[in-house]
Amino acid sequence: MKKECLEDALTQIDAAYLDEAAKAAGSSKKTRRSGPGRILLIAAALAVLLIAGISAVSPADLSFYLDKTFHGGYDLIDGMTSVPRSVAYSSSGGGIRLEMKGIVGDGQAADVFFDIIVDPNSGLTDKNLYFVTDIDRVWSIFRLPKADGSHSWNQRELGRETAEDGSVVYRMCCGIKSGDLKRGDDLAVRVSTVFTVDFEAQQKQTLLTGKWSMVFTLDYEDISKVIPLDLEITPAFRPFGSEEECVTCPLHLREVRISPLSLMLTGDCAASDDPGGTEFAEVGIQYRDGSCVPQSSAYRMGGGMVVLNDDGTWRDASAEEIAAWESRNTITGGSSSSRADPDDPGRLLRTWIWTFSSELDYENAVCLLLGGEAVELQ
Amino acid sequence: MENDDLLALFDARDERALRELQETCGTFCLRTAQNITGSREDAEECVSEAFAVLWDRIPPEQPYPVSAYLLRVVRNLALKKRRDAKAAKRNAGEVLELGAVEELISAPGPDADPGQLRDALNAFLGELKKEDRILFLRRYWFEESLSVLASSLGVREGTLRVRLTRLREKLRKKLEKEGIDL
Repeated sequence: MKKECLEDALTQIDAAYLDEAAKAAGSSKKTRRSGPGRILLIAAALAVLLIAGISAVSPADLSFYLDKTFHGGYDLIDGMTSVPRSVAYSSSGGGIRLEMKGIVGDGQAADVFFDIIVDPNSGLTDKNLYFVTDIDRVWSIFRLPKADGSHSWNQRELGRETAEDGSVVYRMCCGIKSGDLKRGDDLAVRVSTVFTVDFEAQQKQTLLTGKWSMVFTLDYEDISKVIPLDLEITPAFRPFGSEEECVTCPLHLREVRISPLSLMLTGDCAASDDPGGTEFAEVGIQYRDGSCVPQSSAYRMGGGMVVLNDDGTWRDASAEEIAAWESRNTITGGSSSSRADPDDPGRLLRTWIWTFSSELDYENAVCLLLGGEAVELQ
Repeated sequence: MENDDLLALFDARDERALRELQETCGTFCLRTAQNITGSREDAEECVSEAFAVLWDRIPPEQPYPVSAYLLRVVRNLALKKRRDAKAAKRNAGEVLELGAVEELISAPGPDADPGQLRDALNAFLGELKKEDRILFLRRYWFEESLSVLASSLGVREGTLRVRLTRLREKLRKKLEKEGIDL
């Protein structure tokens, strides 16, 4: 039988079956366990781990982590071309256990989900506990928050639960700027010294000294989707630090890559139109319901990967200059770069990247507002 | 909105009918068309065209439910787009991508009578448990990828592959009984 014949016959099946499947698919959400069910499951999983003393864990159900991280929950993930993978690594000892749960990411950033499980017999409490983690050589110190939503840097506690044996399970998310270049690399979650701090007395007491290390491979499928554009806009940029000057630059936009983690816009402009220097454009995301992601500043540093000279010519940026721009970009939440168009020396290829705190509901984002211009995202 | 109310809007040539459909199944239609064509642009074109087709055909047609009818039109248009694109690729000597339905066919052979094949498929679907029927249609009608299905259903891809293999085998046996070779 030819494929076309079967396809056509399938198209004509009973509307009732079609309606039934469409409703199921259209409103599909990942199966979620109820609260008590989840607690029981965790308790059971912990019991297995304690009894067997094994170091590997089963691939996790990521529903808890994704629901806490993404506004759109599973509806959002389902609409994407690929899904996050669970990974199974764990590390334990000395009353603290680390368990890797999964990774979700795109070409710019990734969210790493893991649990820190504190044994009740360790004598530790969650009050004033500090963990020092090392992920991909970036050190940060964070305090497990007393209230949900409190976080430091890009690591956050998504929730905590107490297992039947008294273990406290801290469900963690660490957002990292991974990018395609780091995919496939081995990284680590490390918990080193655990101590309490008396802020008033400015004293700290070390409770446990040790290293808990969980090495994992940064392996995930890119969840972003690409929206092709062929659009001319003329956004307004302001030189950094100036509220008065305003420079416009005619841009030809080629495409936008969008995911809950980041948004990347690519386009090109005539080198002679490029305003050069440190600049930023007002940026916002307009949602279908009329609400808007609060405006932030998207900075562009000195032409990105090239530096424009006073006479209108340009040169490649030095490694030091790029490093300096990148270090400044880390505090902005947005960055952009330019490089010469190999097919047209008179034009520059430009890329803007904005990272969001895992909150971009892309299916309902209808418009990117850039320097007074609008770019449709649907 | 109830189906009758929707049809009444179509009968009155009230464009709120299209807006209602767009709101209730626009995204899903787009996703289905994109699954089939593999292109956002083509998918948007299919969905827009499908709305125009509905506007032209209702009335006199009075489909029940309208949403399923819209999906059928979207699928037909998307299949046509895919076939055209494949023909162009074939002519250009490019490698062709396989659609989900390709999994169902063991070897190209003579075509069955379309009406007989549709009836056999309906009978096959009627004999399946609801969850199997939904899985079968999501994979082979809406052409959802295994990874999306696995995430949506909360199971591993490997588990789905096994379930789909069993369903394909059931279909093959059912059609064989009807004298139809896949």
